[in-house]
Amino acid sequence: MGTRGYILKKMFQAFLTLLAVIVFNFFLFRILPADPVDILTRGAGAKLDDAEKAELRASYGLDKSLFPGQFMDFMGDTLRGDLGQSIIQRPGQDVTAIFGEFMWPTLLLVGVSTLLSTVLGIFMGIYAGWRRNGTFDMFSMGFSLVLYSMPEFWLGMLLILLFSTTLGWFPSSGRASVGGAYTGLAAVADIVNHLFLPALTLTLAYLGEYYLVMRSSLLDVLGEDYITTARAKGVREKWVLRRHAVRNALLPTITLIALSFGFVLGGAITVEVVFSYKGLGGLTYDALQNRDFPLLQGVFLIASATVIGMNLIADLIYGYFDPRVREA
Amino acid sequence: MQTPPITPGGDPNLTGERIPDSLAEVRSPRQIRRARRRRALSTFWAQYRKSKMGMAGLIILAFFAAVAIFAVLASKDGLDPTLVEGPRLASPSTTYPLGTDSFGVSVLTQVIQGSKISLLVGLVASVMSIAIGALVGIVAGYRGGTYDTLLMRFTDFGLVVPWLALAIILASIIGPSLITIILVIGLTSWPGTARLVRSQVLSVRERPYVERARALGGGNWHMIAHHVLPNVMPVILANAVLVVAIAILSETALSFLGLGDPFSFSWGGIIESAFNGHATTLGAWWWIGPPGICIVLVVLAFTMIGFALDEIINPKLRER
Amino acid sequence: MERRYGMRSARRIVATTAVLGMLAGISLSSSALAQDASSSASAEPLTFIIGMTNNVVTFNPLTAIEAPEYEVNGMQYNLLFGFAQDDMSAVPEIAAEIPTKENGGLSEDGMTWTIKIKPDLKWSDGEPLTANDVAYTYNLIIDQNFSAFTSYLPFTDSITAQDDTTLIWKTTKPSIAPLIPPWIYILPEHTWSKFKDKDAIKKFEGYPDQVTSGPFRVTDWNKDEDWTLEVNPNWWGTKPTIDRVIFKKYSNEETMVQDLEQGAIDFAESVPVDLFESLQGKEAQGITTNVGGSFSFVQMSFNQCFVQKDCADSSGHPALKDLNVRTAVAMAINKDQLIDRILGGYGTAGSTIVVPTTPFWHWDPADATIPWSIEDANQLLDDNGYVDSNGDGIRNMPGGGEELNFRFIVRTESPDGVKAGKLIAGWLKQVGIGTQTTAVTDAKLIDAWYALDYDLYIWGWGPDPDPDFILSTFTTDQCGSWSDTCFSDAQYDQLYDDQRAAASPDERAAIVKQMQEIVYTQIPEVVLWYDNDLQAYRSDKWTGFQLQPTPDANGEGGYALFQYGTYSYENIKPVTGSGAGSASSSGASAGLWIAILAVIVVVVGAVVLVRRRGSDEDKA
Repeated sequence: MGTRGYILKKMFQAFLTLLAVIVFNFFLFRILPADPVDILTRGAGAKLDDAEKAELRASYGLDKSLFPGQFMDFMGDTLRGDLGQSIIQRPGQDVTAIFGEFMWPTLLLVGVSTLLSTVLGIFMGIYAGWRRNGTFDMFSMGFSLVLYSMPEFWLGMLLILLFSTTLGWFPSSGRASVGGAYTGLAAVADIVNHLFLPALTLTLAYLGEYYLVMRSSLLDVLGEDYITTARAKGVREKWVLRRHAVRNALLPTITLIALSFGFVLGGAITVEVVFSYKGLGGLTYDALQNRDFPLLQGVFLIASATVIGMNLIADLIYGYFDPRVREA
Repeated sequence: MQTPPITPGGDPNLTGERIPDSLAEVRSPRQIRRARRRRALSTFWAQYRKSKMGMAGLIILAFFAAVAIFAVLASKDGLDPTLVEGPRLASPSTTYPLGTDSFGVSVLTQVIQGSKISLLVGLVASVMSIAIGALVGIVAGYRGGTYDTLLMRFTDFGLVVPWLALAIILASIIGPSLITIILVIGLTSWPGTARLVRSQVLSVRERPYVERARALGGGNWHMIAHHVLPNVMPVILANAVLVVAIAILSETALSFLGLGDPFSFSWGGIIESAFNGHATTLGAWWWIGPPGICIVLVVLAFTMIGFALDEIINPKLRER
Repeated sequence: MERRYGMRSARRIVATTAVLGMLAGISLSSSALAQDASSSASAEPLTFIIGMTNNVVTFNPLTAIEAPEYEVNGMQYNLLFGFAQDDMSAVPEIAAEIPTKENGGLSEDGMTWTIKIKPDLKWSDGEPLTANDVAYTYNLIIDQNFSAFTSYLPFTDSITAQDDTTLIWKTTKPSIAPLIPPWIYILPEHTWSKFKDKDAIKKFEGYPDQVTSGPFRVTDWNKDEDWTLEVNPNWWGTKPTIDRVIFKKYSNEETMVQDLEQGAIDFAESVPVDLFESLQGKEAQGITTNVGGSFSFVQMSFNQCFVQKDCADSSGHPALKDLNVRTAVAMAINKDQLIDRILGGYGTAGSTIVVPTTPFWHWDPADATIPWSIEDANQLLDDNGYVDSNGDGIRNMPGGGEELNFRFIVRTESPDGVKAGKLIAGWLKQVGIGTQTTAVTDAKLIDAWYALDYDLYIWGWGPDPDPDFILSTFTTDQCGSWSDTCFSDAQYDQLYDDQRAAASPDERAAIVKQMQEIVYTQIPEVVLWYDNDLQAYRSDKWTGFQLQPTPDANGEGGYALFQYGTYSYENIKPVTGSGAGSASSSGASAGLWIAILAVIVVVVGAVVLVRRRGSDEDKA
């Protein structure tokens, strides 16, 4: 199969998976315990007459049959990018618009953390893998394993305890000072000041994993025949490391980072909750607390789509750098 | 914890059992099998004992198993809210070695009782996850064809579904409880295992003796039970250890998000109540710290055991 | 701490806002750009900043539900009769005086009220506010059936404006409804009459372009972030000292408290008890705490759906029919310990459904108080044949029937309720009653409650100062709508109608107390506690708070803000020389992050460089 065929095949598979997710999404929210309108109107039910209920039902399209009526509507809307409206969190506002607003803080937080943890993780992994069983390796291995074993929200709470409660250096929560107290450069400083602790938490949380992956894939590569050959031929150690090993070991690591970047939303949920950071994660948590199902449904779709997208990118990267994959 | 499990990947061809040559004496097949297994086990243990990491993991785990057993046997009066007399939010003292929470309950008692629930949820959820994963993997790998295609599409689908988002939705539909957490973890964490098992089954299926057994007319059940399963077992077990670690972390995250049973103490639940009790702002480190340390230690122990197993099963790592 | 519809909203907020939102089709415009609060004119307006964790969805007085919405609307609009500062009794607001038979305000047959309106009142746009606006508003409620408010206007025959300063309210039978008094903000007819129908009214978010009558008026609203009120230049009452009030919405209490400590806000509303305790004794640092009023209660309700029309589906435990069982359960509950452990002592043991904060209406059980006694509870159950016939530690119905195992529901939304559930389950166990305690979301509890699929549950109420509404929820008619328990008592129902037609407040109070006694002794629910609203403010910058109601001997129980009226807002003034009103900087540590970030960048960069150079050398 040629390169183009490979790309097309991967894209087609991604599209199929996305479709499956959308269908799954449809049914997931239809197995709710009761008619959504009942849930909505209960309590306030005293205030609603049947006509109003019917109107509400119609506004949800719930007066139609499950299939094909509701199903086709849902698929059509979703594919057009219409994820419906929030019912509780931001009553009546389009879910997509809400995402548009909450997406950037999360991208900022996760972007910064991923960047820092990737760079640090890769360098530490290379160094440790190269000097296997050295002091640095032992120390960083232990450090990474502990980080990897740590619930990131707990780490965040510890950091708040230290840097916020005890030392008072950084604010413990929020995305910026409430009420927009600053302008210009001070506002940027304010945002970074608030970003520091959550970003540090996520950086440390990701670091352990990236380090471990880089280290082990480097060890894999170092065990390959051609490295042994290169060494046997008397090529200088660092040259081997730089020219052959690192380059080949980076590929799986980068792929993994692309993959795990797809899970950013999930990973950010607990950390955003700990720091009351108003991003997609915090939004998800609030939607969960309020049982704002259209919003949760949207979160689920967006989160899945991100993973699928990053998977596709990872596949394409792999296919591009490693021709063997394309032939498989 | 959103990370996909680090699977003890390894080259499947190098795993599985090596048949010792010295089985010359004539014995019944059962005796042979037993002897072979015993020998394999002792070889394995000899190898495992060399791994400092693996031994450290085992020791930590044994400690927490003991704590959990103690928790089952110990009096639960300390947690009975009607009997609580402790000061609220007291820092550690001789009476309350780990202080008290905002209700006045000893944090030490909570952590000890929490070990029970956390380990239980972790183990049960893992068993469920592994059972599903192994079943899907074996059927897909062994039957092949349409089964394989369908099951693997399904698995791929499972892999891309963001588990925490799905878990949150499921839990909000089912309602918060221990069962919810177990179900949610079990239902969302199997795809990794399924893939791993399938690839192992594929390699086992092509081995000459398996093909021979099939040619001799072995039924599907016989084939799976006697040839496939014993060969994929090491991979499943090594993977299981890591799945437990993931499951315990998942339990923690779900409890933290308020999806756990508020009437039972798990480590994640203790952290949740500390967070909601403003322990960070109040500087109540004794309330936040201990449950987290326990989680780290247990997850670390499972991870280290998993790594140790991985090194045995995947010997390439040992070469350098 | 919610008030008025607060708890009611806590109970039904999920449903109500959703429906209102949907029906209104409110489209919120997202202005994510934070407004610079301190960037305006040269003469800095005197600004008072309030922090809280509740949000507002609307400033429309007819669709508002949440406590902060009521707070803002109380600042923007006026009532015919307001609530006195000392005891929340009715006082004239737009009305010129309290109508009585003596002053000619009430006809001899008790069916025609003549209410004098203050002259020369103005709307914020300068138009006169007259009796016509009052008549318009009340008729709008009735004609358009705004059912959240119609109960304030019972037995109404007609409400008309005789002239600009005289309102005539005719009822179909003798009624004291005007003095309850109606909690309906008076709306400007000249702008509201332009709404073409009820839908158009519901769609109005009360901002911008609202015409108001109160001392302050919303001039800016960043949704989910903050909203600003400025003094209404056409305000006809006491001119406030402060020029501007800003409400800041926090997503967690910790940040709110930290900002209070750093002086970024002047007032923190509804501080959780543990944080409140951490703020105590900080007068020297300029922070004063206030144990505010207690207008809400938390109760444990029994499924009492046995006789009403919809009770066929009820799965309530048969033992709950027996008053002895309910009494035993009530006896088993140690209310003092609940308050001590859960509320940190900031609450009062619950007794009746009318809060003791309104002593005029509250019935104090005094000697009739059901005492806490595990032994007596056990004895009572033993005496009535509820014995453990199979030795499993759980009592059975008399004659060895069904076990006394109750399904007990608490709300995940309320950590206090969950804690109370744990304690109560523990006590019930001590009297041989089993519980299957589950914590569920509000929505699920509403489901169970509608389906009558429960035995016990814990929830709360934040009633009006006037007892009418909370009393109405125990009438038979309310089964399936507002009734907690589907309690039904013919005498109670009769008394409810009687109190609405009582000839005088004293007579009404007597009936109201009798009703409370019925509920207290029949025990459809156990009122667990009345909790205090905990507040804190910068006493180094501000003074002049007017507590409502009058605090008790310990100085507790008065709201400093979030009161029934605008007493504090009209009187708050800066402590001289305190520099109040200027936003203090909390960005002192901003430099630090830059430094640390820079260090990280440098270190990472250095590592990269060193490695590069190293390998390049190797290459060479």
